[in-house]
Amino acid sequence: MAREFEELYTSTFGRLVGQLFLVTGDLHEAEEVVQEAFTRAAGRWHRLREYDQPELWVRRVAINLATDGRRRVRRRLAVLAQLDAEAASVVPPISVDGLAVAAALATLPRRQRQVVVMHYLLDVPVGEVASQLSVPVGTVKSRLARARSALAAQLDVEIERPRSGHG
Amino acid sequence: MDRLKDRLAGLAEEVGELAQPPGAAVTVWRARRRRRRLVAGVAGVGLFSVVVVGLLLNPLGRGFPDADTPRPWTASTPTTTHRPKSLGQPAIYFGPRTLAPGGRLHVVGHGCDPSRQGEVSIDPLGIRASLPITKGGRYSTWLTVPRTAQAGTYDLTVSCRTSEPGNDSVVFRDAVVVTKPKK
Repeated sequence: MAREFEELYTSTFGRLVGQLFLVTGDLHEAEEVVQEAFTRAAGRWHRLREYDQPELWVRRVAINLATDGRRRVRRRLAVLAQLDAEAASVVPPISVDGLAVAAALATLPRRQRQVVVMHYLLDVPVGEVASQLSVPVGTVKSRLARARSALAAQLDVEIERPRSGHG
Repeated sequence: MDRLKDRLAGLAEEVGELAQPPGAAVTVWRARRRRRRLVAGVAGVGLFSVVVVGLLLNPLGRGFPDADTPRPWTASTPTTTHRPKSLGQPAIYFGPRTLAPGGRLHVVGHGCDPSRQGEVSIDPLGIRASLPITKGGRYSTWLTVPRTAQAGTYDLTVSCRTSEPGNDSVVFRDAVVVTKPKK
């Protein structure tokens, strides 16, 4: 178990943290949810090792954890308890363009960021996003539409319309 | 004009390179610790449930009375004026209270003088037997109701003596019901 899991962990941790940062807007929180997802994966590794892409399971769990309201509240309370204002939103040292994208994403509600990342970054079709988040397809489309117009106003980017369907 | 996907991917890649993983070994260790805690929690809840159910089904460790369990003596009052302090208050238990011809009646108790035999009888069936008393003042004996006994209510009498000088017999009486023979 240890070798296969370690390979997955080593090869995907950074990539997943980068993706989750787009949802959380906080590097520490992104690392935390990815680590938690990997901890859960380790507990189920005897089943996950049979999957074609265990990384997808880990990423899905991490994304769900990132939008878990109760978890966010707990984290905020912990941060407040530490009275560490900087820890509340850790923005890593990144390029100017990266900062612009991060700032634009930060203006979106977390659930809109979630669908933007899943659909536009990870190429998950709208139907599959709806399925993974257990929400109607129409909800995903409306979140994407709002996010698209907000991002287009702040970033000089091409944003194609969402692709429907599964797979 | 860049595509949104490219901008997002660029940011994700930049941030991903900054990530500081605790390590796979730590992750596996945490998962195992969590599993151990879960197992311990489940075992604790299971043990607690067993104890609670046990107490509910067996209040104060005495259990529910059934036909074969000797019942506490409640009907009669001892005729003596003294009860031995050293041996505790005389007491008798018997069961079953209702039995068929051929059935066996268990009589147990304590508080009698161990140096003198007691006696137990069922009248008017004419059943009579001596009652050996142990050093602790306890006794236990079985009586068999004859197969020829008629259905009805009979008197069960248990007598013994207390250990204190001048004290008289302690006599217990109660009713035993003999039913019709089983077919």
